[in-house]
Amino acid sequence: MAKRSSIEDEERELIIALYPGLRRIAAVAGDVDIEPDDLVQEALVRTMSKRNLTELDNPLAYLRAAIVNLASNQRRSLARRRGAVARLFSTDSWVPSYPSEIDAILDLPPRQKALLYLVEVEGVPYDEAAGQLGLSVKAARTMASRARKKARLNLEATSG
Amino acid sequence: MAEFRNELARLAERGTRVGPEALIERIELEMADDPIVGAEIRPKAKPGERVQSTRSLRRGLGIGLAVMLAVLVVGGAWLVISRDAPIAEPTMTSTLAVAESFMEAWAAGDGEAVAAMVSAEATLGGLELLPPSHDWYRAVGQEFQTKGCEVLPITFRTFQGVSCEYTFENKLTRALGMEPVGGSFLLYLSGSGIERADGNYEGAATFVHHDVSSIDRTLAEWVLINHPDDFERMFGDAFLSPVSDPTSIALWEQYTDELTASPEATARFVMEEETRWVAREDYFNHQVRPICEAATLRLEATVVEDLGLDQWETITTLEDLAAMSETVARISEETLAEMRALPPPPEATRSWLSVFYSLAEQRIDVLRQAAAAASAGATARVEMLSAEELVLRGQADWLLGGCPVGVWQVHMGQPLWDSIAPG
Repeated sequence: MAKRSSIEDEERELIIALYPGLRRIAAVAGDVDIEPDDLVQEALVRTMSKRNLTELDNPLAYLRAAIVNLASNQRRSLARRRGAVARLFSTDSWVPSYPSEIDAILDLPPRQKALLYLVEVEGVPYDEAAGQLGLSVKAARTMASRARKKARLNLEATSG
Repeated sequence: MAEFRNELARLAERGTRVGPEALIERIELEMADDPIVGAEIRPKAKPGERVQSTRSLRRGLGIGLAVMLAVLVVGGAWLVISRDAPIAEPTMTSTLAVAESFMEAWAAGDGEAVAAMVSAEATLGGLELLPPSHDWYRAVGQEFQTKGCEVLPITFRTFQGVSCEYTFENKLTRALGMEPVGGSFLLYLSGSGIERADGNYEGAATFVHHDVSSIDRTLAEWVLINHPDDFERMFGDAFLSPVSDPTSIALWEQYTDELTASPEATARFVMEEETRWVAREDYFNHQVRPICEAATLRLEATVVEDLGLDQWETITTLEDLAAMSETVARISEETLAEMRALPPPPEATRSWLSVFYSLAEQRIDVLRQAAAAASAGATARVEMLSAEELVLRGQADWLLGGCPVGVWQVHMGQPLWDSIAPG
């Protein structure tokens, strides 16, 4: 499709409607150094450069998957950048202002954090959550179980 | 459970909310090709760090593009734009003098003089091996000629950027009658000396094929054909740098001399090597790589489906390590069988492929041993085997990257055991 310079009214309404859900998944999946709105913007621009949002069958799922992928890639590059900066400025450390209980959650990979958020907080069934994250249902269940174990939280799956 | 959910819900509300209308405005500006409004996925300011306005970010990005262009012109490898005031010290003249002295010492292989000019906290890309790297340079007859330094309009915090050019020749370039090959360093200096150096070798110590100045790559082929038993001794490092211990250095010197003893024979070998390389690449790209790529996809699917590991996830338990090692070993074995069932490779590829098969089989064996050790909880043995696996993986990847099966990016260049320690 030709490069666009404006957003159509229908897309605008769609973005306004999807924004809260997209922003939340970006906040959960993204590194704490990354502004959630930046991730949402990047995912929207990349998607809209290829197609009209209204053409998507399930724009929320599509965009959430895009955001989680971006968060994964950013996590990798941020780790490299932090390593380089740490070597140059060993005293310039920064600790996230989250309480220690959440550290285990923050350490999880973006997809696992997003998966736990979807099933535990939003109550999304496993099959739907798996679809939003590009996983099979079996993989989503295995991954959620592993994430809980990893976060040292003895939880039982309650969704799906 | 409730606490866990609360934390996740709290995490979902973090950050500075732009709001949908402002976000749409940003997207429209970006889509209108405003070159300085792109969605920058940028780290948040740390405590005590000045927060930039959107306007200053735009200006910073604009300056960044201009400086990037400047660095490309002078041959610099990378840059970071300063967000602080211009530096006051050292002066441009003294900065240039320090940089030029540094380059003179580097070119002369004077490790002590180089060390004296480098600050204790410096990051030195490519210079860490000094003086051992100069032992290797001497063995292959590599000599540097400095070509002067130039202060760049680049600063990083309080460091001043300087680009220094050089050329080099070695036994191979001389035997082939080549012009000296160019390279450069991008240095960052402060009042304490060199704070950062990034080398752009342009073939001197890289493994870029088709670059006849790359003596290590050319010699690799020659050693494989003429002295295969010494290959590992000279190229045993997983990170593809020549081994620099005295025994290996002696071999490098001896074999480089043999390779370059007759300019005619050297030129003939390089041309033949080029022909072999083309035949090998053709066979690998059209016959072998599709098999390895399919195997990599199979591995990824298996690991996600059966182990529940994420692509970006490191291994955190011995149980997972055992399962991962066994899975990689099994799929590698299957892939090698598929490769062996292919039509016979070109003659020029057989010796190369034979070394690859040997390395891949050793790696499968080591992976299986690591899986058994991990299952038995033998941590020390797992450590040793993981290091061994990394070396074999690096060697095999050098010969035929991504085969028989590629590992995820999170494990690239890393032993599996290194990934185990949580946090």
